[in-house]
Amino acid sequence: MMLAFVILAVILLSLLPLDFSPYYFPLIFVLALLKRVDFKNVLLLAVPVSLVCIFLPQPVERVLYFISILLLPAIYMKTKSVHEIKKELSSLGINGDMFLLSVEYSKVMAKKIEKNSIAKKTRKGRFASPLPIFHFLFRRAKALSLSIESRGYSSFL
Amino acid sequence: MANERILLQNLSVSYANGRPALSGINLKIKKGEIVAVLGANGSGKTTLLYTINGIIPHLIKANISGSVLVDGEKPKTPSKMAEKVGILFQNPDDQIFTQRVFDELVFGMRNLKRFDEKKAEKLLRESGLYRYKDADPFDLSFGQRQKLCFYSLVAMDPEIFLLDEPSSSLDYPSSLEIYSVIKKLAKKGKTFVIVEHDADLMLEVANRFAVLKNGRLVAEGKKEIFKLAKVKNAGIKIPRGF
Repeated sequence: MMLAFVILAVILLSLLPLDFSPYYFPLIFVLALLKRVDFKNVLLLAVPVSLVCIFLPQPVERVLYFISILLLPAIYMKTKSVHEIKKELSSLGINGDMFLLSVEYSKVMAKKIEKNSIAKKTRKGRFASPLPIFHFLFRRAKALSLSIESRGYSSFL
Repeated sequence: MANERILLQNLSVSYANGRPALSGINLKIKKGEIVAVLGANGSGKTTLLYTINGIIPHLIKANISGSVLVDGEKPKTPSKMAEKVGILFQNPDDQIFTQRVFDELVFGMRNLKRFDEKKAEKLLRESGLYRYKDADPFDLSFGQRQKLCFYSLVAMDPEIFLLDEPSSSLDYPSSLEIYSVIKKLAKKGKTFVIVEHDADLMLEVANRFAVLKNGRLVAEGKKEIFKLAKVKNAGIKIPRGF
């Protein structure tokens, strides 16, 4: 099961010590290949990053390490169709519709953070504090779920 | 009665924290009527809409006493109510969910299996949003987003529209445009419950008015109710000439 593999790989990757970070990218590449995900996506995402990583100074490399943890789910999301993802989530006991809604919603969230940051700067703030954003997110998620349901959406998994 | 779309009898709602939101509301709304609900902030207007739609108590926990009947039945879950009741939220950003204007417009249509591309495009043209069809709704102005939400509701073609301040951030021509659509739909038998602050504007649109104060229905009826002292003390802007 591809999804279970992705989740396991992400957990294992996040548990490995940072000193091993240059090896993560080829590792992801091999893991992704073993599971026969779309080769083009692996090539586009994993290979360039893994090659560049070898020559990078440690702080940058560590930032990339965190990105690398998300690389495999990104490849997975790009490779599978929405229906396939929903099916796999459902077999793991996760409500696939709501999960995908939250993935979609993350884009809205990114915009909000950007706007919040601009609003802060106009009031001489340095950067957006995460607290109001999280507060907003919970409120927003609640309001959004009301809106979605009242427009006839109901989970079918 | 067959003509009664919404029937509220001695309806009281209090939230889980004990805060009373509505008490003893009696209201009958008939098919094809446009009823304006007016009241100061916190008077229970939105709670009233949520109760008719079934959001309360299905999605927001609250204690309800008395009865709410929509087409003779108790409100079910909002997703089931969507077949005949459409609700427009006060803030369009609480409603917009997709990353494309067209997808947002047809979101409800698709859920209800009423998708009709030609109808959707026609509505986009009518709303003046056709040129933004493929744009991200969050790149539109706040007023345009509000308009998009309204038209996405019209696209669903419900029998009852519950509108929470549909024109609060629209310019005057856009407000008139929305209200002319509302009048047209009401003539076709659609029923409207509109929460609005602009009593002057509502005077041109609504057939009947309901005024709330601290969760109680102070008065309901034709425009003459604006002459009543209790309505004048309800914290709303009284239309000119009353």
